[in-house]
This record gives sequence, C-alpha cells and structure tokens, in this order.
Amino acid sequence: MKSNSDYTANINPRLGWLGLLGFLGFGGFWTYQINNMIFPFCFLCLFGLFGLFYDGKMKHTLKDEMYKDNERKASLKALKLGFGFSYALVIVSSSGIWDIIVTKDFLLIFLLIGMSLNVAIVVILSRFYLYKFDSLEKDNECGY
Amino acid sequence: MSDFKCELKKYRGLMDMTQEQLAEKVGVRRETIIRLEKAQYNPSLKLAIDISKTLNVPIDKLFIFDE
Repeated sequence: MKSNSDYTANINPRLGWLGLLGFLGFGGFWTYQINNMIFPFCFLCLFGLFGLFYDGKMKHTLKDEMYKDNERKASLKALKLGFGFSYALVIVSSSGIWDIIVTKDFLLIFLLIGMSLNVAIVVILSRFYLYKFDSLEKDNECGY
Repeated sequence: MSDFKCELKKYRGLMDMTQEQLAEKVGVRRETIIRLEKAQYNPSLKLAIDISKTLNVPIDKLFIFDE
C-alpha cells in the first residue's frame, strides 16, 4: 500500500500563474529612487513559481526509483546551468567596466537582479527537465 | 545506447502478466517497466531482484550485459 508521501503533490497547473508575482521585483527600481532600498529586487526569484506549471502536469505521480533518478538528473542539469550563469555574472561584475560606466550601487543592483533571476531559472529548469525526462517514457507506450 | 539486453518482455509474456500488473507488484510505475523492457533504464539491484522474484526468473537471464 502506497502512502501519500510516495506520490507527487496534487497541484493545479494553474498555480503556475503565481510566477507573475515575480514582476513585484521590478518595484525595486521605484523603492531605490524613493529611499535607496533595493530589497524588492529579491522578489524577482518568484518567477520560479512558473515551475508549478510542470509540477501540476506531473501531479499524483508515483515517486518510484526512475522518478527519483530523473529528479536527480534534472536538478543536476539545472544547477549546472545556474552555476554557469552565476559565474558569468561574477565575471561581468568584476570586469572593471562598472567603475567607468556606473556607480557601485548599480553594480549591487545588477548582482541582486542577476542572482534572483538565477534562482528562478534554476527552479523552473529543474521542474521543466524533470517533466521532459519523465514524459519521454510516455511517448512510446505499448499496450501489453 | 544501452549496454545491456533486457528479456523482461519475454518472461512477462510467459507469465501472462501485463506491464501494469508487474509494475504494481514491484511498486513502480508502468513507464518504468516500459523503459526497462526497451533497455533504456538501468534498474537498481533491489528492483532487479524484485522483478526476478516476481517473474521467478534469475536476474542474469532477465538482464544480459555485454561482456
């Protein structure tokens, strides 16, 4: 007998629209002008909630060993891309060009936006790859 | 590219068992059995033993690895 914890959560794919909350992050441009507060840029990571579209598509799926294997593969692939993106971000930030063009404030804003989007990208990609790997099996099902 | 041959479909047929029934008995999804039969998925030792016991066939006859 399988318990509920052996299955993926029963999520409505429409919850993916919560990813639109990520647009709250752009409020950072407004708060920066008002009182130099840049924290709202962190809300950009809420774009990661778009990943719920894929979670919803895979609702109530038995988490057997192949699912867990695919989950690991998907996370690894997404994290590799995220790590590469972070590294590129650091390289660009430390290139020195910022000292000439803009202030240190903008450099910090650039980094915060980049890191927040990076979190969102990793979350979305890990869910997307899991769905992709898992749906490969459903393509060529044979009856008996 | 798979490096092993899987005879699961043959022995499952001999037992007159559907993919769904075998999947339920060994506690995995039907998709996992499909991938196994196509030798596209390398099962864990536990799953291999479970399938072997369910079908009453030795593991080395179910999964044949190239030397």
